Amino acid sequence: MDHIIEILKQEGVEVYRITRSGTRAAELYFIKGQLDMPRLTDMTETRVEVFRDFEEEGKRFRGSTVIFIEPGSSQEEIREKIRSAYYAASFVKNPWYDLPEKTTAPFRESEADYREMSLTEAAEAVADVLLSVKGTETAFINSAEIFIRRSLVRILDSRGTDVSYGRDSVWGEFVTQCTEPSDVEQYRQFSYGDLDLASLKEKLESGIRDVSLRARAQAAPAAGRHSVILTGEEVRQLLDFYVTRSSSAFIYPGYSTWKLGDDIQGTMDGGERLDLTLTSARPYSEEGIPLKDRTLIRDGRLALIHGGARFASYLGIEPTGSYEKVVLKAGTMSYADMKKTGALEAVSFSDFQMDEMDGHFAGELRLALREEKDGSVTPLTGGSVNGSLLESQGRLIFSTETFRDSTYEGPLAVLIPDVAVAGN
Amino acid sequence: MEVQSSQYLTRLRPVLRELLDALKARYPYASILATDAAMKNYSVSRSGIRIQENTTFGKRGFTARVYSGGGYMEYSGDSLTGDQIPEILDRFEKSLSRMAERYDRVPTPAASEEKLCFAKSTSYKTDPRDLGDRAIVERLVSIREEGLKADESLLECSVRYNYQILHKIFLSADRDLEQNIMFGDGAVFSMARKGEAVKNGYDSISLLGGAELLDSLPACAERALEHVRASLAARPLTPGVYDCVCTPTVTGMIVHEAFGHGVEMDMFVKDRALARSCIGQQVASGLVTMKDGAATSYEDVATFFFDDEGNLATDTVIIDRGILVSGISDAVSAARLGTKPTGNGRRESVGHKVYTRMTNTFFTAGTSRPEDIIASVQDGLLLDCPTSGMEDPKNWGIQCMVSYGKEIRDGKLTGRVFGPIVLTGYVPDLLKSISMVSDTVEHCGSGACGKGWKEWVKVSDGGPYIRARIRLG
Repeated sequence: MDHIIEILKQEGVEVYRITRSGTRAAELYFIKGQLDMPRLTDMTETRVEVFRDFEEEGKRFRGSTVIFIEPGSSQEEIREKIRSAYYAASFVKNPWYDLPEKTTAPFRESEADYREMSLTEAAEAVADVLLSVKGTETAFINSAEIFIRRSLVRILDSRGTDVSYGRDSVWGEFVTQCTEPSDVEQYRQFSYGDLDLASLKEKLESGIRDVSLRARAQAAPAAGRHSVILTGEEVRQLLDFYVTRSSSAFIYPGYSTWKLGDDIQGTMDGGERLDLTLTSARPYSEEGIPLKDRTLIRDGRLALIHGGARFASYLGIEPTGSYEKVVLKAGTMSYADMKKTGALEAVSFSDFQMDEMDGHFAGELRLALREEKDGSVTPLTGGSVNGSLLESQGRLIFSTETFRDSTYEGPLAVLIPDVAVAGN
Repeated sequence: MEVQSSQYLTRLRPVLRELLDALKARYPYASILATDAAMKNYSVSRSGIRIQENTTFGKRGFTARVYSGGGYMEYSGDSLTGDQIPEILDRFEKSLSRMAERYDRVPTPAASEEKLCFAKSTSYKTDPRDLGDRAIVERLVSIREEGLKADESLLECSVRYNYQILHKIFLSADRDLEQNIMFGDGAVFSMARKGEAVKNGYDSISLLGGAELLDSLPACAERALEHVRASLAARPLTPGVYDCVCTPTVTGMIVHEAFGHGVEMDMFVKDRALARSCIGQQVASGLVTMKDGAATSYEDVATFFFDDEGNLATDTVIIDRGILVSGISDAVSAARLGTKPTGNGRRESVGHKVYTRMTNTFFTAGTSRPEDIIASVQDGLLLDCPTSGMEDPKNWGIQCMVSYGKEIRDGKLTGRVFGPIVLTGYVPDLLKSISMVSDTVEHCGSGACGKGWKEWVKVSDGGPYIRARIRLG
């Protein structure tokens, strides 16, 4: 990075940020228990943001452009890119703002519990769990992809920030298949900061259970209005509405009108008040801002506007950096009691969508379950859920049971009354 | 003008050859794909102006692939010098081979390639690099200002333009291929407030070419305004089965999401696609012919000369007058299935695995005029402004979403609008219900396509106006 800084200075660039991220990965791809392909990757990305200050009609502006210094670039290629980026920044007429305050710290090691293992060893440990879950002759794991990544990130800027950290991640996806009485499949993703093999095994086994239920599902739910239970990743997606709308990138341009202290849940109608916290497995944001746990919503009221330096500066608030994980306080109703209400439990969607702009959520049901009064469970498939969080947010009831992955920690399920369902 | 070769790849070629020769000496098959790319995004909005390079769909780097022990292994890196070759060989021989030997392999015949050698480039009218950042930003700012003037109630009229220049070299024992491609896309997002909700209208354009695309962006702003006005007027729809007329963009989403993913033949290998058992059968109305290919007549952002496994781009007929006649495939899947690859092996970027991916995918034109299709509907909806879709190759379930549908009564638009709307149902039911197909076809490649929830590649899709029966919610 030193040679880039030297060229930046030679070209008169006084304000800059450089982020270098080197990632090595081991990847394994399986089809019906057999190896499709092993892959290794070793990629580095060097991102340089070049800033340029200028004044017009007495107003201060700070333009910026982002370039990537590709591996194998000659000194002259780098110089030309920087020169061109610095020139382009003079057309980016954005109001002036300052970079985040200087942060310096020693290299922070990854905290993953498998950081001493090689990437291939970790990939093989995940594969061993995958291959150990046999299922049955008619319900099994169809295919899976495993990605073990180890990154080293360094962020430095012209204000003196110089931080670096290591990061490990385990993630992947698998498809379960059941061939009787009908031939169907279910898709699942997994994502962990540690080598959480027990959670993975449970997820694989539940994937096989769910696909067996889908194979028995004959009909779509009856069209009309239903109470709907969302679980797992869809709960997290629902909360994206609150995370996005409270970001300075949404509030500064006026897409969101939320202000600190606003009762953003509005009139309550039997639901639970939200307590939401932002947290991160990364120690620093993309701008080098230290990331600490921050309360976003307390008792349904907005407690924080979050985001990077530029929009924070425009709004006159502290820059917090951008977060990737939310924590929601556990709810009040057990998952079992939710199901006993006769609500339609949406186990999986084709693709659940949460529109943070208009509050609309929707998805086609791959598998839904309805618990009958006699305790039996009817599996359903097809049809769709189509609701508005703006209309429903005063009626949300969350489960006492919780789950967690790399982006969410909180209630396993949410009960949403009176949602439009398309079906038979 | 034709896109010129990458100077970087030209410099690197001897080192790539050296690595290939070293791999060929050790393995029965070896190939190398090397890429160089330049992609720049421009946007103007209430948030400000943004100029940013982007590496999502392409970056500098290489992937080396070898055949060993009954299957393939790959190593991807971003820098390559002669000094690094021993280390790369070591990673194949130790880490990758060790992982491969630990498991049973999916039976895979080795690739057999005919000799092929060429260098080809696409053409453009205006090189965005020559036009310059200043002129591009000024055009976008002007389009945005005009867009906002058109309706003072608009909260936003953001405008973006992206271009990408992709250079690729593919080397193997029998192939030495080079391609240089430039494409671009642009879009306008208009937004307006409706209480707490913010409704938006979106319109986009794409082309195989350069900054001449900017000339078409003002028309996008006009259409985006129409879309946001419709979304503002939309009221909830009573779920049910409706007679629908789909605009070309909605047809394109149905083509791509509902059916296209189901004929990707890596899904055949996994037993994940119902289409495998339906080759030769009627899956759609006799009015429907569907094609895919990077060498189709509808040149767009997914046009290329060879795919990421060094196979020639094709023009594949998938549905011929209602009969499913072919899938599309990458080379490894084709080898496993005993078929010919169709040039659909694509990587998100050089660091990613190859999958079977669509390219330019569309229904061909029919014979009806769009206005006659609308006039034929007694009670139904004109569906417009697609927002998202998700495939279900195994069970051919549909999930597509549109912002709104305009009510049609007695062959005329009533002015009433419903939305947002989810399209569901069984794909062949929808395709067999197609009763009219327009004589005009539109296509667009402004977005990206994922394989499931990842592996994004540029694609285009489209088709004619169609009339069909669809379950809506």
